[in-house]
Amino acid sequence: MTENHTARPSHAVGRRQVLAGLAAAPIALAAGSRMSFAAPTGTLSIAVLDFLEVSLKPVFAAYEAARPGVKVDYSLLPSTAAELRQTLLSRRMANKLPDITYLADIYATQFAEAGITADMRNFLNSGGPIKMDSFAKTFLDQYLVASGPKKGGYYGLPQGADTVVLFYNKKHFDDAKLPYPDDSWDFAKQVEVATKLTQKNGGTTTRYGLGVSVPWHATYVPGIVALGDTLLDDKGLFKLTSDAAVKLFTMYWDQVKAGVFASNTQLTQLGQLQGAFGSGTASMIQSVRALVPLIRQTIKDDWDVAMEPMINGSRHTGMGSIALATTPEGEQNNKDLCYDFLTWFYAEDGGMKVLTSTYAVVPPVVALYDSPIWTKLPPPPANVKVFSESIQYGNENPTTIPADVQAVVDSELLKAEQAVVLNGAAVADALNTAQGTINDAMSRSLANNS
Amino acid sequence: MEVNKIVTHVDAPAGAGLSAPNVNRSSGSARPARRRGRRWFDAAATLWSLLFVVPNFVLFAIFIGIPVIAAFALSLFDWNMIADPRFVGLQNYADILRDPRAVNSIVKTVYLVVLGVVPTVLLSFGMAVLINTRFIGYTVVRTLYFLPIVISFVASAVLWRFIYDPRVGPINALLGAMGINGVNWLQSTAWAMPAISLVIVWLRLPLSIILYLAALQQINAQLLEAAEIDGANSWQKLVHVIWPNVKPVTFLIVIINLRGIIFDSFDVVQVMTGGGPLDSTDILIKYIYDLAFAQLRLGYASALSTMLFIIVAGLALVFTPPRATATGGQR
Repeated sequence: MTENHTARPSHAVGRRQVLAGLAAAPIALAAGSRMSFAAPTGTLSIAVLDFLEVSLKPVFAAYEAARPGVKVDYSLLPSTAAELRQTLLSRRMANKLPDITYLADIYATQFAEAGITADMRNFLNSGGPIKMDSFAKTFLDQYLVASGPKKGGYYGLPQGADTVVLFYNKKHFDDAKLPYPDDSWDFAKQVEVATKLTQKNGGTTTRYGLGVSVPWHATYVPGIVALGDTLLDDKGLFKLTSDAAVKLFTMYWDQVKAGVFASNTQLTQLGQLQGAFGSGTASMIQSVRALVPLIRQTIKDDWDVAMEPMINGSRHTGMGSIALATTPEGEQNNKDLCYDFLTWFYAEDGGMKVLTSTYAVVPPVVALYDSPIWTKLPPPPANVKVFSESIQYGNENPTTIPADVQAVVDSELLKAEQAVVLNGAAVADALNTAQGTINDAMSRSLANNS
Repeated sequence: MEVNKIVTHVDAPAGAGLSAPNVNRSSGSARPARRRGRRWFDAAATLWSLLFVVPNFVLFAIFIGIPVIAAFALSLFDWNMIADPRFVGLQNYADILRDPRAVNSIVKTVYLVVLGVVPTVLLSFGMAVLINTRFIGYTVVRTLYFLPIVISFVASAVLWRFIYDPRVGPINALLGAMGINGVNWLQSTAWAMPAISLVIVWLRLPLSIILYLAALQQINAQLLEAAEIDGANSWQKLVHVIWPNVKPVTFLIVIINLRGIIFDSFDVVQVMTGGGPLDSTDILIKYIYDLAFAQLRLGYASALSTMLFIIVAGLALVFTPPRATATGGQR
């Protein structure tokens, strides 16, 4: 395994490598591969998001151990949205794409149209053990392209199944003599408990009851759905001034203004959600499994997770994922090795076992929801079934929103929050302003695509 | 081989060139030989000049000239790196005036320049004068003022974000000890930009101090002595002797900081406020980045970049140091 910043895909398979691969086949089988055919050999180039490097290096090492004739040549991709897209588009234009690349769900359509990713139905229908129905449908559907020339294709396979759950600091609850969150909680109960857990010094909050990123789609999309509406109208434009949207944002931002909830405006200074929870500055946070390794490293108190509270009597939760996809070059030049890696990666005794041991991933493969490879990891968190049970309540961000428009959405909703929290603007007015800018961007993007 | 030939030819006439006038004065028949020698000298000098200039010119063309031309060309298109570019002429330039965020970012950039350049020039001049007087402990100060230049902008921004933290930052802790309730510096639309400008001034001081120190040490000591003999006090010497003599360097410092604050403040703004709150620190370079890489509007971003380039080039011409004024008090 080598790290390669220039990311040159190597497809040549030498005679020596073939012989080595043949010799290694029995070892590979003994290493636990589920592959029924002879393991391919050669070099597999993979581009990974930089923050995943630590958790993926052992995965690549394990794959090389299972396939002695294979070398994984990985390069790093920037994790910030804008730079990730810029890097992959540049590499596509320079014909320097790797065999397999990582991506985030919001880029599925754009990367497909840009020719960065290949249709994963080729792999899913190739006769291997990983098929379309192996994955949680809601997560696989995040990579389904809904319109345009690539319509109907799946341009990514989720690495994990991450839904938003409620993290809580058990010591804070114990100190305040409050019962831990349970499945019966609704938003009102959450506010009531968060208010009791909040600590202030004069007018300044020193400990927030809840940390929640309100302008994050995983917060507002399920909330709007729970209030009986949708984020987009029939034309695909945002309707942030709907009664449901205004009500939902008001529910959250009222608490932010009261100093009970910490949202982006405060979280920036608290080291984001993981920093706020890890340092004990927030007693609860709404976040995902991917933060567990960071939280385990920083927090001193005991903690656990619970289901997201209900809103309006129904439970909906946000979801999102990082994905892998073969590139057109990988499909063309290194297909067997790409498919072998993906098959091994999603196997219970393959990549999933190594990856879930880092605490960062809930397996996206339905058959592994109860697997001990991740459910039997030492706590915290102890209540791990919450992660798999909440998958059924997942609401995805509409995949019709182009990634460049999503950047405008994120920025405008953050400004709306600041207008409400810092300047005391009315929620409806702030959302109306945001909606104008967002729909301008949406209209421009739709016109460009047409 | 060709290079060796050139070097040989250059060495000979260059050495001969110094003594040639004496030789020629004593011999009129040597004129054709002198002309030949001068031609060799001119050719060799030209070749040497080219040898020095061409590598710089090539690098300048690759990294500055061509990108500037390419950015202008791109500004005439609508392109998102995915679909084919669409020619839109000057539409992107016309859009700038209709874009409230672009207008806001221009205003914020001007605000940051004013908050950054003026204190940098005045403080660096004052500190350079102070260090130049060699007061007790000046060596410690001389080391300390250099510190910011060895810290990266991003690291500095992270450090200052902590300093400004309303809960645990030392500024509000100090204010609290004095009974003053400090504000949330980076989350206040009024205070965020001044807070950022302080960081930028801190980062830009060392280079300006070095330039001023160099200029101060070039001032003819006799001028200062003469001023003293004429009865000038320290303030009068500073205003009437020192300041006029460092004026050309002041122009240089102004233009360096002007350009630096306009183009290099991105890191600090991105890390400390991300352009917020409510676009109160949304300077032009940050907006251009968002347009190009978050919204993939490369044509429009290039139009703004081209406009910015023209403005900065114009300012550079305005603030070009006057060549007629010499340092050291001599003309």
